[in-house]
Amino acid sequence: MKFLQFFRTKGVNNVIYPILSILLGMLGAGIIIAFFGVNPFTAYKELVKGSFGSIYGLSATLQRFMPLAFAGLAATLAFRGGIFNIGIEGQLYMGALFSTWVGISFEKLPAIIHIPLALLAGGIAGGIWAFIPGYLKAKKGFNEILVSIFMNFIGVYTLGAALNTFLRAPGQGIPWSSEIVESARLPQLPGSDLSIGIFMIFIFAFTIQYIFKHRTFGYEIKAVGYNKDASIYGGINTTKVIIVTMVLSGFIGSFAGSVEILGMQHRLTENFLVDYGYNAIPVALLGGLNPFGTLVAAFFFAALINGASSMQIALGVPVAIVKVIMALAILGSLGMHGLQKTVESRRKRRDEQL
Amino acid sequence: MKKLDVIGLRKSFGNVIANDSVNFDVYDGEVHAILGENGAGKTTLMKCIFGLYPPEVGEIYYEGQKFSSHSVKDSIDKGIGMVHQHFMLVYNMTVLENIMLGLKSERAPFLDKKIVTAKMLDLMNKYQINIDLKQEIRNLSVGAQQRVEILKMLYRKSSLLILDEPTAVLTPQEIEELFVFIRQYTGQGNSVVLITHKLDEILEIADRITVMRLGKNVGTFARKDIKDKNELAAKMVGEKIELSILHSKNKQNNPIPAISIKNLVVKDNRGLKAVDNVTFDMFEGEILGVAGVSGNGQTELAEALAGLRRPDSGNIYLAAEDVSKLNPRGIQNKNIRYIPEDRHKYGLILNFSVKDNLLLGRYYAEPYSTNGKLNHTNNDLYAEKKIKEFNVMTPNSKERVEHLSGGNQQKLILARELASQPNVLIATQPTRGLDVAAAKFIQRSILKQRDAGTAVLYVSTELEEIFEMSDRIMVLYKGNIAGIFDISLANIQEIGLLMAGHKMGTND
Repeated sequence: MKFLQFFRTKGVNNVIYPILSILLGMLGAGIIIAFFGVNPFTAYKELVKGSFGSIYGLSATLQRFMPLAFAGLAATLAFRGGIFNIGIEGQLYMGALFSTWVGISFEKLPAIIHIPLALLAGGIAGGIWAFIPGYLKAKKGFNEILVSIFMNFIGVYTLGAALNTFLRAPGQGIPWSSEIVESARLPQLPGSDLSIGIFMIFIFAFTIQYIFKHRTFGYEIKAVGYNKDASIYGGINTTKVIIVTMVLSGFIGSFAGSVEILGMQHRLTENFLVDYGYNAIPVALLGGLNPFGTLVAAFFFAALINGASSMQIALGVPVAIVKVIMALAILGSLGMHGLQKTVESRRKRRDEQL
Repeated sequence: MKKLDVIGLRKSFGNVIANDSVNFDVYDGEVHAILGENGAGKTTLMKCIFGLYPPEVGEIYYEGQKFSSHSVKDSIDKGIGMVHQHFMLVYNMTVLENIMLGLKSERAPFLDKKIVTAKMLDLMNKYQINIDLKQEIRNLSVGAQQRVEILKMLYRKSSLLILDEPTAVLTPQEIEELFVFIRQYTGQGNSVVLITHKLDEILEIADRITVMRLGKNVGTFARKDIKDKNELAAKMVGEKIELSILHSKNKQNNPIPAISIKNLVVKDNRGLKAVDNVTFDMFEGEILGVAGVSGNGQTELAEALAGLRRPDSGNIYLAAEDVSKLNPRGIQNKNIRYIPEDRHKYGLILNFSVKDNLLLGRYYAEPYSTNGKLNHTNNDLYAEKKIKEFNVMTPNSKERVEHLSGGNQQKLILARELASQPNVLIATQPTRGLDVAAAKFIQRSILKQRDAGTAVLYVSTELEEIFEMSDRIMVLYKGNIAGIFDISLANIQEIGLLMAGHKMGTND
């Protein structure tokens, strides 16, 4: 996937690019907001107030940030290996399903065992969900995008089926699960309703960065992502690398679901997180396919999602404007990368001539 | 009389000036060769003349008429024809359909196949070119495809033919046939512009020679004023270079083969036998040159030896051990190294840095990594050392390889593959597309490695290069060994004939 290389950033650009892109996106979306008869500046003021204006707002933004960050990191990892993992939606649904199952099942377990067990169950489920498209891509040459999308449908409806049958809270009419038992709930940061899942995000981001920089496996992922033929020539088992990358991506993606349930909602419902798996793709791209850039992009995306509701309540601008902003931000990001490339090659040519 | 006259032509791409105040002319009935290294601006000049690029400054006259607009159609109408290096043919259409393509039918809206066929038969008679008009292009040999391209231009009444590297894909016999045609064609007052790297051919066929360097016309010389190849080469690179034989035959006579290939059968991507029951030995400290027109099994043989292509049957013995079933990493661990034909597809990861590319095929072993952790300190030193040793022109080891020139990219591959003093080196077309200086550097490095005891398989479609480099020459034709010769007994005509499929008693 040649276009992926276009989004790659390094160094400070990891932070600058996502922010500038989103600002560009907001600039474009401002015109659309103006068509609603609303002053875009007033609208954005409401949006910013909603997402950062109060402790409550900031906390809500961070809550949206967490699943987006996990999912974004999963997408980034796969992208670097040249894989388009659009199946994170299904992977996080499976993750949530299995960690909920473990989370409501064992009542006498100490938290130190119960929490990792629940997370691991979700991780394995997400990994298996990613393994299937990964295996089919690596071994049989199937298009992973197509297979992942199918797997998303299966994942989402499997969760629905589970909630209507064995996972449904006993004696209740609503298709939701029982509450996660106390020992499986993620501890919350003192004085807030944020779970310690937020630390896991940074652990994952650092680990991914470490693997890319210092491990032979990271070298292999990047090599396969850039040039599969040369990787085979270079002695890399590309089949294995593609499958393992995909499974790891699914494992990380599952945390978007399981941390949401174990750390926040404490009860699984059918539409507990909608479209976060799909939104992982723009988050990863805006983040320059770099783990820390991805976190920056996820944070701003989360702020937009959160602030948009305030904007809708105050001014009647539909929440969907966030999607417009994101789409325009990606175009803006493309434009900036294109500009940067042009400037670089101009400078290079000039240097060569001197 | 002047057929073509180009005055003060300038053409640039962005900030790169491809042609700078170029003057160039062609007389009636002459063969005018253009010589220059890669990137000297030969092809750009031709594309301007053919109307593919509009020049920024300068004028082009054809038979006294000034070019007002610049379009291919205009050029063809005036009588200029160009045969590109990569043919512009539709592969699943017949020869006749390709000839007709783009021309107005005389019986529009119906096709005028009969009329065109009749005219074509006349034309083919006149120039004694034989080709089945009903055959689809994909069934034709490369040489025949080239003849179709030429016929296409003749049918459009071209009186000036531009041939871009026409001999690169031909056997020596086909080259001879092409030259016969060129002589006949120019004998009738038509002209030919020939772009080529091959000095021998220029000396054989050209009437005048224009040398281009860095986008400028360095000089136009009459053939009779040029003494020999060395003089021509010197004019091309702008400095005196030693052309003939870097090669000094390695006297060491080692009876133990470094690697033995026994009854090897390798299939190509279409599942056809590309290498058919081939048996030969390679000895330590020798270069075994593989001669052959491209597509006769060289690539498949090399890939099988490198572990990239699983042989269908047969064995490859490295010191009594069969390595024919190993994967690329297994082969690398046996210290068999491979310089692939397509360096952008296989040899390099263009988005990786110089340093990371130097690790390809090595990163997984000590000292480059320990238990899966890359040893950056060691690798930085290794990269710096190789950059210096092989004189790779790069700002630093972090530079992305896509920004390097072709010659420097190839040096990088060579530096990497020779880093472990390989037992066996398989080099396929290692100098393809490189300028003379870079090519010589690559060849010298390989010779040095041979002298250090490596057994080298050197695949090239340039016969001259094979003769320069080899201790023994193996000719491949349709996946079979047509003969193996010691360099002292080899003769270029004989090998040319074998490459073209002529049978003869092998004198191994």
